[in-house]
Amino acid sequence: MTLGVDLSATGRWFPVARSEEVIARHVVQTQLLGQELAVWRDDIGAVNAWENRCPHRGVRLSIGHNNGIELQCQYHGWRFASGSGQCTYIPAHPTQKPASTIRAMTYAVREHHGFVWACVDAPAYPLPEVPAEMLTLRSVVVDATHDAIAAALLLGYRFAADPGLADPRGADSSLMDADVTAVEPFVWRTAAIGRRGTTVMFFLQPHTERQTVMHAGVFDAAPPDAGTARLAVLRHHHARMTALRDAVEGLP
Amino acid sequence: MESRLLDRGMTQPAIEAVLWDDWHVVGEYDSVVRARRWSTLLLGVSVLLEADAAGGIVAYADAARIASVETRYGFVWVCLGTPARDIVELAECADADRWVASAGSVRVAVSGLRAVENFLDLSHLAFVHAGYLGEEPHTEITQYTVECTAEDGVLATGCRVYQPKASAAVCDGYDVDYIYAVLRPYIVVLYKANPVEMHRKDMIALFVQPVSEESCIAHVLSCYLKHGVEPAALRRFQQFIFGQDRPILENQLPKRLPLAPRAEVAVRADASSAAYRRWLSERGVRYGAIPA
Repeated sequence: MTLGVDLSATGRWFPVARSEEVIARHVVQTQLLGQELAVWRDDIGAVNAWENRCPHRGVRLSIGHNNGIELQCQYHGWRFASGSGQCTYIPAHPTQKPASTIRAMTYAVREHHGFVWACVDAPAYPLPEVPAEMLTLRSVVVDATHDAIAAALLLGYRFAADPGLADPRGADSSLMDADVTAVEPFVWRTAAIGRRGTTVMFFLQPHTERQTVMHAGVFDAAPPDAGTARLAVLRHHHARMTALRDAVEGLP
Repeated sequence: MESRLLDRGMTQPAIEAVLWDDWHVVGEYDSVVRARRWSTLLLGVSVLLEADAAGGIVAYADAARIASVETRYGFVWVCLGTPARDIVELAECADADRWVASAGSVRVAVSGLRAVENFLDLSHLAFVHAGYLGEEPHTEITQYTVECTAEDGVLATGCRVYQPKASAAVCDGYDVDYIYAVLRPYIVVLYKANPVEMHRKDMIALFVQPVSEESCIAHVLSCYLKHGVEPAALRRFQQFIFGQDRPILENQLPKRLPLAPRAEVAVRADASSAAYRRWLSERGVRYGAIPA
């Protein structure tokens, strides 16, 4: 089974950042299907995903300044409003209102399940369904195509339902093999393992033609509290996903 | 040379005559002589310069001797084709009361045409060179005049910007008058009023060496009246200023300069940039550009 990225990507939502990394007054740079994005949050908390170039002279907006209500380009100080991307101020002509046609290219954006989701075209699908409260894991960048990762996931994902902090690589006997199946294009889910039926979902972000970001979240009937148990889960899956990445990147 | 041109045409689109048959800087003369062997790239062609003990220079393009090599204004110039015209004439460089010196060469990972356009640009000064060549709130760009000159270039006159520290020679801020002249697709000069002799102008020339379509080396020539400045200070100041431009230029997408009028938004302050893009289009410049 392969999922042709070009065939099914249009109109779909992809995670482009974890919510917690899109912090106030900051701009996150990422890519979706080879398109660079500038992802930023205004002071009210609303998130933006814009084409990462100023419409004026093409400078990356990710090196710009997030003032809490607008993103300001580093080159000529043009400012673009959160939400619409409308240019609000052109310092070279301070007394003139910028034409309504001058705006940053915006992408449809949503924040849900602990991720910021963006859509490269008009949204044609709902956000992927998530069955319950999800603990977002650390994302892993893989130097491989989406199809290569899909092929590796079909071989299963090996993890522990109750990882301990002592051995995050998970070499202990609690590791279990879980089958992984595609829920929908770019979204994968493991079978349930352990006493509480723990599962993991993977959300693949095609970054460029050669690179894919593997985002993931874990479902547990008894989610770990904020302390060391949660840290153990994050570390464990980071190690397991890193092992998966190594396997994918090692493929000839 | 003729046959090499044909060879090139078979593997890649031939480079337009307006660039191929023109002169381009490939190195600072003193650096080349000191190094004895100097290898670089021009328009994607690998160029080798060899200096002899007497300071004479022989140039090769892909191991074939280049007939057209000259030293002028402290830089080594070559023409890969058949020179259709002479190296640009910069009359001020003959004045005995000026320092005529290289202010350094900076490699930039962007089309040289983007670098020329940045040199022409007035409204970035208050942001990219804040505290030196401009400063908020003095961001307004008043109307200036742009025309195509009889000498076949783009001329922008009546440009005026408030500058906190306009050059290595001054400490106080003042309104500076600028004149910009694009002389060749990859060559631009600016004239700004000298802070001491207000009726005379200092000159800075930018000779951009197109290394590839998406990278260049910007060679800076400063030609300043000698009042109270030293060449080393001028060089340091220009390199500092160019160091502020470089990260901006290297974050431009796409790296080549789009020539279609609506490819990027322009406002009145961008009149010189718009004229430059139009002028490039009319002359059929493609190398380093995204043609309209």
